[in-house]
Amino acid sequence: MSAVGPPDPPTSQPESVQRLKSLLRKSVRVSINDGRIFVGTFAGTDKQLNILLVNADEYRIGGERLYVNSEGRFVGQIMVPWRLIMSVEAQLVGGYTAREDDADSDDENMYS
Amino acid sequence: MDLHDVLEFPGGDDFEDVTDVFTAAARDMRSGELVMSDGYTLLDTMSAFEIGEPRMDSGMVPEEDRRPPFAPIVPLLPQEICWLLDRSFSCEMAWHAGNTLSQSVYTLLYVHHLADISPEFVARYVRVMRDAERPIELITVVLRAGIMGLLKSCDLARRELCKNKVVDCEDWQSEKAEISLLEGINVDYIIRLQDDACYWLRNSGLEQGAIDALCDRLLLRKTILQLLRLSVPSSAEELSAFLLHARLLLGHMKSESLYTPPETSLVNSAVDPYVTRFLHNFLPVRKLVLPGSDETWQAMERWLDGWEELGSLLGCSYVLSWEIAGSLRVWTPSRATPIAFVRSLTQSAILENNVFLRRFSFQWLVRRFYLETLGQSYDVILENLEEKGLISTAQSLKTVERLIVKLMHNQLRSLWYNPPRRRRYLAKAAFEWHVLHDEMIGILSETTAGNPTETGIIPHIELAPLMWRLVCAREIILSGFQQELYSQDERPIAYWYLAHVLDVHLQCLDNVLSLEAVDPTVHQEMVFQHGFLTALQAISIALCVITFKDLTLPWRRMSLNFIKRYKWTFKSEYDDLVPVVPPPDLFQFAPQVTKILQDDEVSPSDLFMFAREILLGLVGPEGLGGLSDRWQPDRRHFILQLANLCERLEDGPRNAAEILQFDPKRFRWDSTVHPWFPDVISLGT
Repeated sequence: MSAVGPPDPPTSQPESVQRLKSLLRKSVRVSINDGRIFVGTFAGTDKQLNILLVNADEYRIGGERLYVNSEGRFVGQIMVPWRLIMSVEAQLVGGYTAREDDADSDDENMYS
Repeated sequence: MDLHDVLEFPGGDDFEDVTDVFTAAARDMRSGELVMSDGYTLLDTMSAFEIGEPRMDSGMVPEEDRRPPFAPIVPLLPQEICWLLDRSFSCEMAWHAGNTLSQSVYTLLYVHHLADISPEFVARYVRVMRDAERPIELITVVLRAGIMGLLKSCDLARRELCKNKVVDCEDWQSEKAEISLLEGINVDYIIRLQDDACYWLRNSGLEQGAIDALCDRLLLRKTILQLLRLSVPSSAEELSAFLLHARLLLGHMKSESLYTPPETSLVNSAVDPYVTRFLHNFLPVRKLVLPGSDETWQAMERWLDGWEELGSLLGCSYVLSWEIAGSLRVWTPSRATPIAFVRSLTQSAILENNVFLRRFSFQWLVRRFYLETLGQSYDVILENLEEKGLISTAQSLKTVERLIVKLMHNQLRSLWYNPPRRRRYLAKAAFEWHVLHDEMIGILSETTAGNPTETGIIPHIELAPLMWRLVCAREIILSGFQQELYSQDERPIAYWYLAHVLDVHLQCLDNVLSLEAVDPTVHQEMVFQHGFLTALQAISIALCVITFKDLTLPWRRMSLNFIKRYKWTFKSEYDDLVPVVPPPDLFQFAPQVTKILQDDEVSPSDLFMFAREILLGLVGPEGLGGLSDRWQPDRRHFILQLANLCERLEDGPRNAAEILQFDPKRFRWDSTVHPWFPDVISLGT
């Protein structure tokens, strides 16, 4: 993560950033280039797209067989640099997708 | 990625790709801007493990380490199975040496595939061709028995280690990364698997040499399981029989030529030193180089030695024999500390289920305390106390007995702690023995009130806890040398205080020896101790006066160091008890040593010679075995080594003038040469 201090509060945020914010606290699945997949709760990111996941589990698929822990391996709080990431997926909640432009969903309010 | 993988994509199917959402947001975010959940700060992110960073990412597999998936049902040659079974012993020994299971036992990948190599399920592998040289039963019957035996051995050992007698992460590693050690499977079943595998081998038609080698390994595993099943052995004969058999098998295995599979062998894929990447570990664990065969067999022999020593200890009827055996092992630099399992098992043998040494009661330990410390019968002591109005002190006596039991058994157990923990324990025990000493003096003042000319045993009973406290004090000071804790400035002070501790101990022994001991062996032991401690005192005084001139620190710094180093004698709790003997009075240090140095008669060289003569007398033809029992040769060896050291030290200064000229660099404290005292080296020209 960048060590730069928090910027001034924005007067208005671009739509793209608002859409990203709508993914906060959602379950995401991050695939990286060594065949591992991390499933955890999206807790934050920065401009360099270092993605912070909490309560994450690690899975191996493809080249590496899940020969030891088929249920995945709990890795807790992790930070995944963008340079390793192949894809990021977010869980659909009751047909509600991240593309719907609503950063203040009920889902988020539940935690605020 | 095959269909199977797709169907089991982790997390399920209700995910939608949002990669573009991230890239679009990154373009529009300002430099330094963060998108964070409420309550999350930049500081919180610092505690996250960074994926892709080898020092933090415990699951990262670098490109060069990637390998094809392990196939458990690949037929192997008998010698390859033999190599795997040998490796199973190496893994076990590596775990017992204090490494994690993930670094050792779990690196054998069959451990994670027991279901796949079960004979009941092998029908799934229809493509496996029959191969007379590589029968599949070598894996499904022989190797499986060996691997299950390995896991069960770890389980049984772990049960002992979990009794909290040795310390997790200090003496051993309890982390099992959620892998089964076959806890739910009966050990008898696994022992039978070893027999079944031997039966199959003997009827297999394989080459006889291979059959013998494989059977030896399976039978060794069976014997280890039988030994582990004994826990604290209840029958010396049974223990001896198992140990004899294990040693015989080890002898066979040691005599075999070593087989190393070629790099192209498929057996190499069954070992993954980086398996920890796939296990439930938060932090990356370094790759462990497993001990080679010779090292493994040596480690196993030491393990068997530990069991054998425990068997011998359980045959002893004197508590002090345990103390002597344990102390000799602690003091002898060439003898490695036994593995945590042996140390735990020995402590279990000392006290388990309120039974001492497997067969004795609390009351027995109290009786042995008086008999072996003072040489007197507790019955006589009780009779004497009763004559003097015991009824009023019955409660105090009970307190005393409780304290004796607690301190005695912990004192014995501490000999099987790891060295630093033992030193910490002794620092606590020194105070507790002092509390007992104080308690006994309280009883004495009631029972001997008004009769200052009291004779007999009663006035001396308070010496028993005092002597044990002095043993603690001596061991704390000496272990400081062994653990290389002292700086140059601290050494003369340590020897000075040690000489005082030994002086008080010798006075106690003089008093106790003036009484007629009930047991002649105990009397012999006291005489031995008297000689040994006299020699130690002479050496301590000599070394104190030689090293005194090397003091460089100012008084203030020296006294602060002293208070810190000897904090176990400066506890505020001592203020409410009888004064500590000898008092830790650093003010006396310089005047006393100066006085010795001013005495023309005092010669360090003569003191070393005096000590040597005493030591040689202790092990001479008329030497005293005392309570050393089976450890008499060990004790003799230790005393002779010390006598030899004294002989070398006799080359040191002979008077005050020579002390001043003596080059301190000629002294070298090396705990591998002697745990407590320096050796003299020649500096050359």
